[in-house]
Amino acid sequence: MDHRKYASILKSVSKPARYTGGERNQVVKDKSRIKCRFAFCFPDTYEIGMSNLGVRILYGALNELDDVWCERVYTPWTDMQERMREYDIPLWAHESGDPIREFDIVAFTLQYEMCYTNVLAMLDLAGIPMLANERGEDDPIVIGGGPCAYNAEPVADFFDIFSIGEGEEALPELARLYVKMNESGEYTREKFLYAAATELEGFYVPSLYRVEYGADGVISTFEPVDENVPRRVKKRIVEDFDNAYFPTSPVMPYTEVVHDRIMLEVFRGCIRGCRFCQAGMIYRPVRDRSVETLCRQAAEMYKNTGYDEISLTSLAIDDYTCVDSLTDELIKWTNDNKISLSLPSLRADSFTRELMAKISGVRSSGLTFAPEAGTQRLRDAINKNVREEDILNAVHIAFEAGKSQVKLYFMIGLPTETDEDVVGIAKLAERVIEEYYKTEGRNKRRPPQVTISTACFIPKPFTPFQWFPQITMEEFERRQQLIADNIHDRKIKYNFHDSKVSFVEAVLARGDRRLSRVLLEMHKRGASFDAWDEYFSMETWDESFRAAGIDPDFYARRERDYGEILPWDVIDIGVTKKFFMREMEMAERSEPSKNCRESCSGCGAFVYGGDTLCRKMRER
Amino acid sequence: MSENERAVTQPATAPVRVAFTKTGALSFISHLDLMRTVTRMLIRADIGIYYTEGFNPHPKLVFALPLSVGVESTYELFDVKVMGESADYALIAERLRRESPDDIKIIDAYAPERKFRDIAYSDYDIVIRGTGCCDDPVGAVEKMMAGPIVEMKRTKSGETECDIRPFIKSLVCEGGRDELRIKTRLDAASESYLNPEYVVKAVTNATGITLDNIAPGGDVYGITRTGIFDIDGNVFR
Repeated sequence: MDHRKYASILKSVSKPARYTGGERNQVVKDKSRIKCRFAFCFPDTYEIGMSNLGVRILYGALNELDDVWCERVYTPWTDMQERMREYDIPLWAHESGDPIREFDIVAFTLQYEMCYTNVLAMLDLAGIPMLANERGEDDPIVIGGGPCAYNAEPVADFFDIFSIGEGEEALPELARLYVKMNESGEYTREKFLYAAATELEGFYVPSLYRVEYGADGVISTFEPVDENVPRRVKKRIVEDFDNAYFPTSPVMPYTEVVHDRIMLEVFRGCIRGCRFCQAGMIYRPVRDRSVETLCRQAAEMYKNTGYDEISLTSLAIDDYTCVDSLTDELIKWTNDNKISLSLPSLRADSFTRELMAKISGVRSSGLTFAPEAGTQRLRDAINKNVREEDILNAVHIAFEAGKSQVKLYFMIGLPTETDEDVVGIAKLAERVIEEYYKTEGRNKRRPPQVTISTACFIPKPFTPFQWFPQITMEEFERRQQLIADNIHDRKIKYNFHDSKVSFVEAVLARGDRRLSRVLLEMHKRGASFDAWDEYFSMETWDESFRAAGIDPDFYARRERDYGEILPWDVIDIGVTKKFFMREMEMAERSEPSKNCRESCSGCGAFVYGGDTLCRKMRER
Repeated sequence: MSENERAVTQPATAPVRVAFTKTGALSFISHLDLMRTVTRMLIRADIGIYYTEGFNPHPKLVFALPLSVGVESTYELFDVKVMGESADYALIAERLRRESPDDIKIIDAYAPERKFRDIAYSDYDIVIRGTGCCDDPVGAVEKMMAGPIVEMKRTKSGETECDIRPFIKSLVCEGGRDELRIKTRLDAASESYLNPEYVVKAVTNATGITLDNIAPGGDVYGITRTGIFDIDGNVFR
């Protein structure tokens, strides 16, 4: 935003540095040489959007193309939204300050369902028709991607195209196609969408599918409009992850954002297969980056940024085969330069003294583990292969190293959960406190503190629990109370997620196209920032469900049959439905399965290659 | 520990004072944001910064006078220490220039001449374009300067009435109803520092100007710090 032209407005809103741009390492190009202007929208605040590694990667990958200019866009906070409506300021792109409705492609990353109302608010603020079928030749192509695109049916009416899977190769291809069709003169909106769906891989164009519903409300038909349009859209992945594009000059925010540090993406995918976890399924197969590549990227980023923290990101960092040699190589120079290492996704079962020593070199903070469930029986059922001894051993190591604060994350409402499992959460926290007093060499000056947090389980598409009903809000509240009642120690702090938000999330996560009407009703009522407690309103959601004639329980609390056509069946992630059914049945028997390094469970993702046993499977 | 031992354990460091500007979009970042931005600039410049010892090592960075959000400056100062008996100030200035963001310009790097506690005054240019100005704003401001100027001032114990006139060393006003241009020298010693926003408030009160129309092209005011001085009015170095 032009800080001179809009100085008075910037002075009237909170945190104006969110809007002024000009950050170091931002990409500015000569407009006259650009053939495709790309607006990359993050439907949440600047502080959250700037923390997202995926955006960093795609921004960099698109800007590698000489004739494409990708700029960043965030959701203006509500005070700025008011000013924009009052003074007719259309939503602008961060780098150029130009209105995004003049762009060629407007892309949204869909990271969580609760940001959907922000997508509509942003389209509206931009002056782009919200409904895809109301857009004309002069309007941008609106695309969506990210984890929610694996079932984007609830927002299907608002998008022209969804990019399914990893975007660093797919999005440049789409931009190339756009430029090519424009140069040859064959471009029309309709032809471009058709070409994206039929000539490229990994692009789902919802308007090219016919969806019908039976009398029971369940989908009866989900068909492509002709035989050239794929029946199922295959997700894209980057097969050669070690050589894949990775930005080493990230845009550096001036103002404080959530994650502001060097982020190394150590590997993609996860070997574990926890049965509630969508990320563990959709990012399959596992692909590693080499220690050499990671060390080179870390050194380049340090030189280009001056950050004093390196975070090793991935779904479970200690599953990286070379975690020891990587951390050894890094601390050779990080300690001397006062750079701290953080490993945000530690598993309790592979936490060692050596790892503890490496992360407490400079500026160490508290430790967090995610046992997810309170008893071994339930941890087996959800395939979280962490034993109680592992957790106690991990906290023992942490206490020995002088830590006194530990955070433990759990979920409640998991399939097969009983009261015994729920009470087990409080009991586990008590055992952690006991472990503290058993630890020789603990930090005696500070009393221990264990914080337990429970999220409400939300059944997600592309998991073994995708057919499972969510428990009721009242039941969530009862189980939360049960935990609270079983905590008898002031050293244990208990936080829990709001079951109402989790309910709406459950509706949207497994929703179909009819939910677009609910989101329009929400927009009419001025909704945005529903992911933020201060703006989430269950009353508004209830009103919108009613006005749209939608029964939310149908989506959140209904048990699906294995035979039902699911809204996300149109997407092919490699992992098969058969595998999910097998896993669901094992869950009912509280039986864990092996991880991808121990043996292959035949999930189906081997068709994509990968670094575990998948490659051997494929060669066979 | 004897004095000799202390001398051995403390590494030799050389003090560096950096004069810089902070303008444009960067005027909207807070003081904390500026500290973070400068810290990273210092690390990228690779000039052997001295870090504090202890639990959370960080470069020892001290700013002369924090700026309010929205205020620009053509003369800011910070102090930092570099490792070694002496510092190559020209090299430091050159490295910092290479690594500074667009809206920070490095003016100079040199050995500090005086301590920040000797700062006495700071100069500001203020431009006000508002609505409802009286016919003779320059006269109104002159009249304002003649008497006490009572403003509500924020203190630790809430808001209190305070005469800010003694903290305005000098003030020259020119322009007319559409635009007032003010040059003022304000007290900047730590115990009697006057935020220039109070001068804007006093001038708008005295002239009848309102700044309520925030529409683009509507009412606006701008403040730029242009200098920092010692008690004798010499440029502070």
